[in-house]
Amino acid sequence: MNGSLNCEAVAQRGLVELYVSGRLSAERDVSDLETHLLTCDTCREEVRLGSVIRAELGAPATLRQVRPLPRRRAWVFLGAAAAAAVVFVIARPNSQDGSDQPVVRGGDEGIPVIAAVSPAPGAVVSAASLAFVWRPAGAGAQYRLTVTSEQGDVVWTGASADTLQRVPPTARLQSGKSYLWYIDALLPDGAAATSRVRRFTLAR
Amino acid sequence: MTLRAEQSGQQRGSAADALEHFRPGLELLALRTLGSVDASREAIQETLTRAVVALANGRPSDPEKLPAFVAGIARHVIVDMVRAARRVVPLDTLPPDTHPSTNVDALSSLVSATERARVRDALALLSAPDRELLRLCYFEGLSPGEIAGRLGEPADRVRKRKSRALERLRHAFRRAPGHDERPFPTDSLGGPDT
Repeated sequence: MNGSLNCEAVAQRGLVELYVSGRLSAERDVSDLETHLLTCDTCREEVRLGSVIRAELGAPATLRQVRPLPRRRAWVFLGAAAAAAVVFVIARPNSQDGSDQPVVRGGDEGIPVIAAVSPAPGAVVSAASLAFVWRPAGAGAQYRLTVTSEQGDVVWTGASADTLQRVPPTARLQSGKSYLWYIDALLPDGAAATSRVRRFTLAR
Repeated sequence: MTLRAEQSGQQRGSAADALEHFRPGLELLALRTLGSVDASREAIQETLTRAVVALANGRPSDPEKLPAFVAGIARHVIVDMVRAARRVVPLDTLPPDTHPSTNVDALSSLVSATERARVRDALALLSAPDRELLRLCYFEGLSPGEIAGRLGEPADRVRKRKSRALERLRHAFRRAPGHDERPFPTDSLGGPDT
């Protein structure tokens, strides 16, 4: 327990940034910051403002400008008609709140957004019934489903022309844990589409 | 009413008054985790109730520890509510649009649509490097020092850039008449709890 945290220390250690981004993991730090937030209007406002910034700027301005940061993933996706390989650079999903809103991947570049259907944002689903469903991005589209841990590590990824995919038992999803998932698509004309990041929890 | 009961009631009343200024902070903590306005109000009420009882019983002994004490109660209450919700959430037997978790939207509870739109407009007026700086701060969770290392700029310059950009957004955030500290959407609020 610590009542001595002040705004200067919060700013110096970047605690609000870590809190808003979901990276403030040390129990002591969370406890100290939340205690400070109870009595500090300025830092409370920064949390609210930072939450909006996070939602609005969840992805880099353009996917082409993404730097090769350690927490980014790259994968190669083969199109149905094209012989050439197309490289997608995917920003690591970092949504902590389970909503459809905060992470807009590629939206600024005009890439169409795929409507994810199931699991619903934040849903708790059993392993037996876990199926990922989304709306078609267009005729002849090829899709890639990616499931990651909350830390952004890919636990399953698979390609298909179908808009429904199941994760095989070999993926070893753990009951009680939350995961993030998203869809990327490649259309026959080379255009790309992507879903927003959603969260689900595997029922115990 | 006996004298003792009356004294006890007065003590609790003054304790409740002393705790009331924690309410905006509790709203932030609860909404951020629970997402739902109703659940958050329940969490705040439970937290304040437990805190009033504790104060009436002489805890915490050090008044300076009251904020940490209340924050600790809030965390326990919120965690209990999250666990309870997980136990009772219907699984996949319900259609997605009737699933309770689809009602949870922490961001829209924390800020109004108007506030968000104003910030979005202000963000559009920032330079691309400043927007990227804020993204690195609040999406990647990097400190100005870490960003400085990544961008190859002096840390002080990064801090100043961040501070200036944030101040412009704060200005936009506070601009509209009627802006106040309450994260709750006003149309979701009832009268004050009695």
